[in-house]
Amino acid sequence: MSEIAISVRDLAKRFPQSTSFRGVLTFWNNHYTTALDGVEIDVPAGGIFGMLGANGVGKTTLLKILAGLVVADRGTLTVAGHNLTQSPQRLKGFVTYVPGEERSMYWRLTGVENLQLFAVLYEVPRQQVTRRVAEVLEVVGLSEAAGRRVATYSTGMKQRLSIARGLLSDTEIMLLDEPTRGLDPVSARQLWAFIQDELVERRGRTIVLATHNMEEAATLCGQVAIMHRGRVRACGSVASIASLVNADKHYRIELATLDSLAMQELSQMTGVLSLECSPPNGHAHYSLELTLEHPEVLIPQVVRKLAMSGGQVLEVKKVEASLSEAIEALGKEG
Amino acid sequence: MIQKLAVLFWRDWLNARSYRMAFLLQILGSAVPLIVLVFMARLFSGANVQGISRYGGDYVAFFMLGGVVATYSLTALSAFSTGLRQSQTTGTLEVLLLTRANLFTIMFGWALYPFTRATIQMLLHLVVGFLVLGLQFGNADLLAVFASFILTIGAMVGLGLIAASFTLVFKQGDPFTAAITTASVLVSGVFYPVDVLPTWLQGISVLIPQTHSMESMRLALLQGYSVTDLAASLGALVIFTAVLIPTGLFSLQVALNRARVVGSLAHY
Repeated sequence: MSEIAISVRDLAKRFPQSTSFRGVLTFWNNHYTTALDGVEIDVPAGGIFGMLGANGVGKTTLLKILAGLVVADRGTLTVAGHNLTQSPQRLKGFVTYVPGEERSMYWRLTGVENLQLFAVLYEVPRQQVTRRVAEVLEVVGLSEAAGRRVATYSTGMKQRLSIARGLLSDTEIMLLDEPTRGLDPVSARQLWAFIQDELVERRGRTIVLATHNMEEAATLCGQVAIMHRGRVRACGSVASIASLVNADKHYRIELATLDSLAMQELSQMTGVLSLECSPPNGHAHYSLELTLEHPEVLIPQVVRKLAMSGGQVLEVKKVEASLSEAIEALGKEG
Repeated sequence: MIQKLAVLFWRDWLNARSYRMAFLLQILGSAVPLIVLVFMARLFSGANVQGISRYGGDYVAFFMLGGVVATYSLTALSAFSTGLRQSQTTGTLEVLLLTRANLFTIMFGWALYPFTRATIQMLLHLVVGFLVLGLQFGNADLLAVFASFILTIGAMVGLGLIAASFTLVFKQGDPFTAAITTASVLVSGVFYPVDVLPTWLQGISVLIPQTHSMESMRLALLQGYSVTDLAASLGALVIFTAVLIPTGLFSLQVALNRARVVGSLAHY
């Protein structure tokens, strides 16, 4: 596999809105919803790549295009070095899509029956079906529940069964669409550990994870793409994305003492965009959070002013924005 | 491909068996037409109906074969779209299409179980007709019966694939199946011979594959007509099969491509 597992260039997709009977009957339709608008991403091989954004920003559409379930209007799609733009049916040889919804299994069949069915459809050699199914059930921790109907499974168990089905296909790339949707925090953390330890570290899979869960992305993803209104607004490591927001402008000053008058003066200072003070609640010191227009100029002035008013400055630290703050800010910019 | 078809059949068998009440009612329900047949046999016992003299004059045999062929062809017509519809509503269509099985394997996988059930039902009817109602199949030309049977399946599979294309696009309210079902019941000669219809309706009946299926099946089974004797009916069925199967496959591919373009594969 090449260094870049998936490369997407200028990918666009609009969906027709069937507002009339004519819209159902015809391909020509004047009403469209833009799902993707010139998306460009490079997914490195062998890690977890997160696609982050609110509902409806185009994450699932992008995953479905990568899986060959939806055809893009324009753009190029290269997977494992192969340009598959014109042959989306070949994508199933490279990627496995694991849908986020619970309904993709046969609920009247047991877990093992579901996996045996899909093993044959994925062309697992006949003599290996039983072993492979048992193996993937073991991997996702469903061996004991394998003989029960899927209808009796919890949401988390259905998600794990869905991932087990994905493992049967034996492709290098897995597309996970909101895998922890509907899971309680404990189950979600178990699934995160499974994705990281089993899928990435033990099996060396490349994972593309669509999520709107910031904690999930921050915990799992080496790189993330922030999507907003069908576009990738930013792409890179979680830290680099966070630094894009108010980059180098957010500071925290720890003080042993603080004068209220100095606080008032600081808030009126030109270039101070925001100022928040946390009292020494359980700590032995005050914490002052500032966003500054030109910190290189203003930080010395702020520190001087605090010192002059009798404040004892303990530490000055640059603060990175959280991922959710970054997404919120990037969304507002667009 | 055979292994994939077998596992898809197994899925439907497990699924059907899991709904115990429905499964039981289905078995009991298949006995209803047999009971109707028994009462009809009493009513028409010994009667020689002039309009059907070329089929041997026995209305019970005429009616029974009409029912059998109609049931079988309507199963073929609806099997694909019903399977597709169930897959849309259960959310399994996308994941099936993501496997290494192609669309046509998946489609035929949906049809296997209903076809098997319809075949068992058809054989049961024939056995009851022979043993209980005393129908005579001694003169039957088995080669002609087989040819008629296979060609009927071929033509109806073609129609079934076209019907499934409508389901893929419109989800509900497939106008094609409704039109074919109505036309076949009214003018293809299930309950009465086509000869009794007005001339213009007879013209329409020629365009429906079931008309030729009924004709060839009845004459081969009841009167022992050979393949040569049935050249016109079987020839019509060959043409229907040759035209409808490629048309069905093509329309299904077009419908699938459209669903991928408009992103409606997961819609229901």
